[in-house]
Amino acid sequence: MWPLARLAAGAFSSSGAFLQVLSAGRYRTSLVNSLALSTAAAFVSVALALVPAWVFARERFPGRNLVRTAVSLPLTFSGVLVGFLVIVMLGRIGAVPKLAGLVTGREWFAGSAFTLTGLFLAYLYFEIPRAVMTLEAAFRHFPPELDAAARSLGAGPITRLLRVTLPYAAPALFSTLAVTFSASMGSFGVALVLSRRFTVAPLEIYTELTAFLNDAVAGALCVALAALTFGVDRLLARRAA
Amino acid sequence: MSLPVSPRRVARMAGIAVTVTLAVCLVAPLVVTAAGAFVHADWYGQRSEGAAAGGALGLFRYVLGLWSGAVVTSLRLVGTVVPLALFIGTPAAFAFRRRPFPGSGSLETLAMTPLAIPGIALAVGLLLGAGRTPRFGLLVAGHLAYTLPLVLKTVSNALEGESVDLERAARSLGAGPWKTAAWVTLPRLVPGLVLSALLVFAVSWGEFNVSFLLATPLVQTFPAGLYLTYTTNSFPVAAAATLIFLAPILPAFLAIQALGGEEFRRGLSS
Amino acid sequence: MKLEVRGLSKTYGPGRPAVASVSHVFPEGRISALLGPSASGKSTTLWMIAGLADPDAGQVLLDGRDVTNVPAEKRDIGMVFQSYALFPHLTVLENVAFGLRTRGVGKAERVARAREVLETVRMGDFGGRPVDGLSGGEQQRVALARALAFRPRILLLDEPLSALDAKLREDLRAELFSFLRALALTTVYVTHDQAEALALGDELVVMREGRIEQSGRPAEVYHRPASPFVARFLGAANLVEADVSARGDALRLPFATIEAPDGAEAGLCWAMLRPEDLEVVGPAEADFTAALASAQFLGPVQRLRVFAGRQELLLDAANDLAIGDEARIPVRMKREKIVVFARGEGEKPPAPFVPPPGAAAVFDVFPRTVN
Repeated sequence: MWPLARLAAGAFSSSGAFLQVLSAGRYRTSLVNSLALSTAAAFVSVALALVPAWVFARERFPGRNLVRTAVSLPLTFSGVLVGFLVIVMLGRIGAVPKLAGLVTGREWFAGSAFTLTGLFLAYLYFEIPRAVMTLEAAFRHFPPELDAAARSLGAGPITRLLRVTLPYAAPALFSTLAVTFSASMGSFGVALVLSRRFTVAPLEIYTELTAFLNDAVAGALCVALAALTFGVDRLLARRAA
Repeated sequence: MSLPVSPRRVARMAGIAVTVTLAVCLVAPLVVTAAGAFVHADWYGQRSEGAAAGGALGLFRYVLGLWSGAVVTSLRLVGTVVPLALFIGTPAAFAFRRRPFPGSGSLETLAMTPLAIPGIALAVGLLLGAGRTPRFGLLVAGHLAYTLPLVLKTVSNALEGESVDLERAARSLGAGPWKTAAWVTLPRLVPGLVLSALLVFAVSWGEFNVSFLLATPLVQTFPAGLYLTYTTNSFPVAAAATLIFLAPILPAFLAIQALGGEEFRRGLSS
Repeated sequence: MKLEVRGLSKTYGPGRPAVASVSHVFPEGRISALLGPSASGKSTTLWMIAGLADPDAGQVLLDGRDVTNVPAEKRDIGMVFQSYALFPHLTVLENVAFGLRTRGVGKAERVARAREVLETVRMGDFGGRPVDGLSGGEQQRVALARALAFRPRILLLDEPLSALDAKLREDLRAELFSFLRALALTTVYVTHDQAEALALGDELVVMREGRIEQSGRPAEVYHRPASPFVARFLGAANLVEADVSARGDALRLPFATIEAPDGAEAGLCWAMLRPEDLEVVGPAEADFTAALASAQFLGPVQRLRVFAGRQELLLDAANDLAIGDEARIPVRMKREKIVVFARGEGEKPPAPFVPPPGAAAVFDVFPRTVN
């Protein structure tokens, strides 16, 4: 763990860099952007993962294993690859605009890969599989008699979801949020490939490091990013316990 | 009173439909990429620089020629990291689970922290710590930081699933600690070790942060090469490179799925 | 409320159906014990009554109204689950009030009613507690209170005592039974424990392989089992290979020939004699003499294993009867208790039912409590 210690020591020894990072400006914006994007991606991916996770945990249907493999496949993809896949679909000559062009005559979404939308979709692309797999494991432990008991007590589907399933699954939801959030915070490859104007902290670190050779600021940004990630992760993990 | 279809069945079908749709959305880009790599250029109306190589596999040959050095480096890296992670991680997990010593708890927590820390911070820390002089050993260290926690986790899980009584029985039958480990504990751990090796392989091969930041023009890794391809080459070439990049991961991933590994969800950060 | 099921069937996956065309009318305001070995379809039947499992065929009727397609949450049927299924994120009181909350009962009223029900199960002091700290017996009572708080029309209990250890189970049984009787609610109680079923039920329904094998008052089913299976399932039973003479008047046992019971059909048969239907008597009154193989002192009785010729028999003798090891024992049969079942050539008797470990102690002595 010495590189981290070295990083922290280096950043603290030049406290000027820290002040620079935390005061208003590009660096702080990048941290705020990372935080906002990661939070949004975490919530949206968990919301979208609820149904598939429940289906995988509860239902048996033909092709289940194939579908499950397809959903969890992106877990193995690194960020640059995900970025590329988003370009493949939503780039200026991506598959979606080409298809839209064939059908409607206008190439919708062309180049949206390089907008905030594209970046967000890329985050979802690698977060949803994580969220589905984590939640599935939790849902599998949900005792079926609990749901049956709620039904026999007169609870309809919505009441059951709100009053039984979700409260029961709350710890799992929080730990899933923690997993997806910290993965998003550290995501570098996606932004490297897709980001044009919108900047996130890992990208800023890279720029400082390679373009401006500003090691102190890069180090300070790293420490700030790690602290933010770690802090929120712990916070969510505590609610999950 | 009687409904043609019960509401529960409708909900079930809707749930499955949503899930299948999601799966299709996630796989679609891969299908387009694969198509791009095999159909060559014309799809997008561009002439690809690799088309000259000719043949259905022409693009692949072109890409391999372009990045052969990087592919070799990555293979060397994986070949070093997988055995190292297992050789360090397995005894460590065994010690943490079976022979705890003062401070072993904190040591374990420390060993797990890289998973909770953004990869780029780790990579930058390594780079600056080494005085900005990337070396192959540094790449190995970075990958180990990421993969050791995975080995610790999987092997720990496997150890926890095993009854200590088996080891006690072996001891009572006259096997010393080494023989117990060799004849009882290790054979029972084989599935866990295989799973660990596959996880480490998949993570190490795909890892980008360390592989990219600690790579130099002389020690180029394949993930870094992949990024450069994305930024400089045409779509069919990039697609072909992507498929080559995925080729070793996909079988490993399928094997992991078959072995039921859930630990990698967190380890495989981008 | 009257509960009836008609032709209820359910098959899970390929193979034998879990429940195969079960029809039955559960008497109003009475307790019916649904008894059977594991996988006999009794729990599945219960879940279909509750609406928690969809039948492949058949109907569930409440007071003659078909509710087969009414979802569980609209049936007003209270249910106590095997695992109790208390909501871990709610307190005891919130658990009990859950069924009132789903019905839109206002807060003040539902708290009052939940407290009231908790009092009746003697859990009044536990309202504010979380459920995960409760003992098994306390959980069982909370589960019962929860199922009753919304005043259901029917009460279903799925092996409510099986999660408890043997001693506690016996202690709670009497309490639970008198409580259920006092409710006078149409109740279906699923169990695999014969002692529980015999002691509790106003009516006993014995299931086997997805079908109802026999139903009736517990004493009736015990004394007049409809099949060798029921005979053995409800207690120890000697099944003797015998036959009824062509004229239907003589029952020929390997060790004695006696007058055949009324209505016995001529041909091969099983003669069923429970151990308590065999008496040790003076030589003058004996039907036959048997050699003692072993004796087991059970407390209220001693159970003797004897041989009448080559026929092995179990016999319950008074617990103060002194018997020497080599004794020849004169035995008399209570002829009116003998039940005969038709028997095929070469047919084997069903294996004696081996009670689950916890039930063993109860099982051996229960005939005394019934007779």
